[in-house]
Amino acid sequence: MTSTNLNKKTLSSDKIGRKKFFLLTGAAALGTALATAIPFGKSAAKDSSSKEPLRVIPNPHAVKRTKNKANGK
Amino acid sequence: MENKIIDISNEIIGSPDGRSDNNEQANGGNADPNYWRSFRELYNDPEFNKLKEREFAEGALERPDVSRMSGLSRRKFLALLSASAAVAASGCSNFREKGFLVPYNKKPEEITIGVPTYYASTCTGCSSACGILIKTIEGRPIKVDGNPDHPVSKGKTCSVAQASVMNLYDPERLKNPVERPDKLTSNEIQWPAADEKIISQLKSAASSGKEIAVIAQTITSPTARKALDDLAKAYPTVKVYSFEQYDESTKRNAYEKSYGTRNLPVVRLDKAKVILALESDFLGSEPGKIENAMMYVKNRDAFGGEFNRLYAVEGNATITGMNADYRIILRTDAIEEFVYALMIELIEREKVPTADPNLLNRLQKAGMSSFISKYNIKKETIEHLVSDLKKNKGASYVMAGSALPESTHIAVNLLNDALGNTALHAEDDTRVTVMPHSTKQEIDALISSMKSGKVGVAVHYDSNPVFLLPKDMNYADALKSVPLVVSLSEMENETTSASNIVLPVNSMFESWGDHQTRSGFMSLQQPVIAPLYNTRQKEAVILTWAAGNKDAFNTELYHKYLQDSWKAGVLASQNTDMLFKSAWNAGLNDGVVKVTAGTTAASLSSASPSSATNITTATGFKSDAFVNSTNVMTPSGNYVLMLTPNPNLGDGRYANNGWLQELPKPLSRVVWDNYAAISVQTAKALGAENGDMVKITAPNGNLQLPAFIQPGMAEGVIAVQLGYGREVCGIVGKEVGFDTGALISKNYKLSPWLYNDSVSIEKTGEKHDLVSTVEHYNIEDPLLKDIQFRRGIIQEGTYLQYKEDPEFIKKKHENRNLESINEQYVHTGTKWGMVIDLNKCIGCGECVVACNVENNIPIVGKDQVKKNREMQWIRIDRYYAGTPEEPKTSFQPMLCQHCDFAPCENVCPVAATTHSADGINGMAYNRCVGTRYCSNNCPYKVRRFNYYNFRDHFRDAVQESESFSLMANPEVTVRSRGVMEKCTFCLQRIMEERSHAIRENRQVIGSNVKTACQEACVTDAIAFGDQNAKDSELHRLMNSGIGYGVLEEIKVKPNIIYLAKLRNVYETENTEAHH
Repeated sequence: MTSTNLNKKTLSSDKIGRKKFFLLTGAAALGTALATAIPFGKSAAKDSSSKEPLRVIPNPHAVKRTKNKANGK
Repeated sequence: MENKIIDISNEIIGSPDGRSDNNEQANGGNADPNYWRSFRELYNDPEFNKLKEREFAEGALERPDVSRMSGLSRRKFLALLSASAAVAASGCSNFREKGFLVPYNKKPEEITIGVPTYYASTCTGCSSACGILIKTIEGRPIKVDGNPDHPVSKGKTCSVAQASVMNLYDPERLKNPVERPDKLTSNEIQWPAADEKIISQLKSAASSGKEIAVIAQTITSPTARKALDDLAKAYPTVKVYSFEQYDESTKRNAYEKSYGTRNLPVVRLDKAKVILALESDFLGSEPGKIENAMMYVKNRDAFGGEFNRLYAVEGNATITGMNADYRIILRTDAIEEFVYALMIELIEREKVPTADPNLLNRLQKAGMSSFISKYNIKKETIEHLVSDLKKNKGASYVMAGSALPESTHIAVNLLNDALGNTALHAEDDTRVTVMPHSTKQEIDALISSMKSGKVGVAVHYDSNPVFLLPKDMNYADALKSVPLVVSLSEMENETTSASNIVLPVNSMFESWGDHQTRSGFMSLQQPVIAPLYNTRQKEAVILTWAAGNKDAFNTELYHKYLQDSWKAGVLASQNTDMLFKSAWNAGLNDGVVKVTAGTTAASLSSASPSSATNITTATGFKSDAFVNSTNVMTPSGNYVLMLTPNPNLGDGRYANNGWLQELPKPLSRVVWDNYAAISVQTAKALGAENGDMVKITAPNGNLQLPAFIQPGMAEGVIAVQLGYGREVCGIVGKEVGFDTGALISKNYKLSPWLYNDSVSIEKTGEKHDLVSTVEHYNIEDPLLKDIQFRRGIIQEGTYLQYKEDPEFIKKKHENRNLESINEQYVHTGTKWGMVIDLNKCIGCGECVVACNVENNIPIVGKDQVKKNREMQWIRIDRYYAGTPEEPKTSFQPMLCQHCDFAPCENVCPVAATTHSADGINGMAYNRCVGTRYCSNNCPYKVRRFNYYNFRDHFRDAVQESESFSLMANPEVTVRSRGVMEKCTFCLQRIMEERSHAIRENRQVIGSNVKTACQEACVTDAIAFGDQNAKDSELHRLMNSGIGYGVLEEIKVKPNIIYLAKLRNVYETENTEAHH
């Protein structure tokens, strides 16, 4: 048996079928989609990327204190 | 050992003698005995010599054995690698976007990046309405301190105000209106839809003659009341009720009977030479505590005038009592008897004149000598008290606690009147009430109307009556008969859960307002930010309903209404727009506006069931009030149950604020719990220990809660604190402690907070984990007894001793002034230092909360405090001396002492803690590897270690929420797991002063820097600054004759100096007080 024949045999025994390949790829994609869509506990609770970030907007009618404060002039 | 090795070597690999020959060969005859790479080479190991002959190591040239290689093909390996990468990548999809740091395109005028902005406003945390300054950085409110321009709070605030930023950023605040058609359904709705439904129901109720009940807690805003009056004009069946779980109603009732007005006087405690506190915690938990504490310590300055003298007569153990010069332990229900005995002693023996001979008839049975023997009280103490009151007529004051019954208050009013102490009532100032609380009868009538279907709509105006009203009123049941129940609230609570529509309202940082608690001025409240969520100001909601049109709302509705109200009222004289705007802005700048007595923001109508504001001052005691006083309090039964106010959590509304939950109680140091405080004698009788569950039976039912043995309490007195046991609350405060409010009965005999009939206590056999931050030890143990004095940690004496020799503490030090082995480094520039005056420190703990807020200190939770892992940088050490039955108490704030020869610095293997040139013991967090050697070596035990990232570890990582991250002080690093931390002397504030000095081309001025604890300290017990500034106040204090350093004999040279406590007792008792 030559080394070329050995490689061909090894390759053919390891080769995945096209149908099986697409089935596995599809299942993996579906699994990934579900994993990201379903909220898992704390990580989902902490996730705020999908929400609009909280904004602090100064009130324009508030009057800033002009007097000196002991620490912050 | 060495010989043995050589022997073995000789045996195995031959004599070292052969080495030189071999080396000579190997090196071509130029052997150098000094160079060898290993013992094998040194001792000429044959195996090693063989190896030297080979160029490559064994196995390097042989072909690999395919049969022994892994069966995994390259293809499979790559497939697995890709799959792992794909899974890892999908796991990373949850990455939180941190945003970008970009400069303003259009910078708001009032914001300069990195420079804080201050706004004057008013705290609405309780009915005191103190003036505050809100510090914002780039628009974010991050700190609250007192407004120095405020005539009452004078730049100081309590823990509630300090911690209020946490309420603003609480992630569990209500964010949208919610409709609850039934108990199980909860739907978010839009504001217009909610308003439309409510307006329709209001119209329907008004037209059918059904009552519209608005239930509020204390209202201090005249314009808010005007808005409620407008609602009443629009819907004539509106009735407004107000209440508090704990208030001064018995005191006010008594004052009304005694003087004809419900407005309590402002007592100038700063002018009192003698103060007698009768079950009154006027320094710790009673209303007005900030002002009281400030006035009290004015005469506790060793470098000022004469000390005042404080006597306390109490059954409970309070801060006030523990700070007293003389403390008489007496059952609470015997206090009225004591007042009678005192009066007869003063009137008959000391010839204090009385206006009415009928009074004497009433007092006939009372006698001090029989009282002394009945209650086993020290005669000398009573003699001192009587003598002091007699000597200081018109300059003494008797303070009675709010929990005492009306009859006791009337007797105390008479006592003060007889002694001429009404001279201490401020003439130009009086306390005013914008809307008096409803009476018990009025609330009862409301509940009856609800039950009989006469109430069409119930509106809870930021109140929680389901939790707070006495349970025997059955308010929650009555609500079920009301067709529409609306709640305006910041957070979910027991009442919102019983409501059909819940409307989220603005926090105090997002609201406009005006407040009046005194006759001479009003304070203004301004929103520093726009609402964070879809919330509205509660007054604007009321005005929208009053307009009868959901579209009447706009974000400026209440702002404009408030301004119009002031145009017509306080600022009516500013009759042009320009003048008004200028005066209005000046008012907002200062936070307070002076008004003439009798002025309110606007004229008030009388829609509310109670009487309108009356600001007449009291003149002349009405003897009839005393002569006809009924229900006199007399001791009965084995036990007295006392319900005490909670100075931190209020009535429970701040239960979700972890900083306040984790603040140790001043005496017990217990956190995250309330308990039944009992005396040592009672505990012995019950066979109870700390944490044993006990069942308290009171007239209104029973409650099980843990017992805590409190030294210094009267036998038979059971004291429980209110404000715990919230069931509908956020994740932090839910089910923390026990709802002791359930013991309040509407049918009380003495007062709503004091019971001595049908009270019993028994052990249940169960245990509860009570966690205290103070090491529990038996103060009777000879090894530990008075150790604080023996080691010089607490040094004290008497005022008389100090008067005789102002250096007496310093002289004691000279005896143990040992030579240091270290050479003192001379700080030629600034050297920072602190002085803590133990005469002024009352142990309240406001400084601890201020430090938490300033320095981004996390909440760790009860379980971690139990393991001594609390993170607070300041701890208030509380020491007892004497016997457990009658202890003498000392408080001592303990924080990093910034020692010159800091023992923590020597042991840090990575130099994470080092000393700066200006004397600060600093921490480089990113260098710290967490060995904790520094903490082990710190004699003061003031270093704190982050055993976890506590922000993530505590309560489902609530402190990691987006809103909480806005609360952090950007000038202070947020520490994470594995890092040591401690007090930095507020280094960020020092840096701020340094940058000012550089900009202004001057030297750093020490007095310009105020640490957070110093700023918050109500009694100004903390001084900070540059020790090298010879003309500074700090320098003077540091070198005073009563200053000392803690554990100074170990020669670490602390830079915090404590001023020894001086007790103002009579000379005969010097030896007892001075240890």
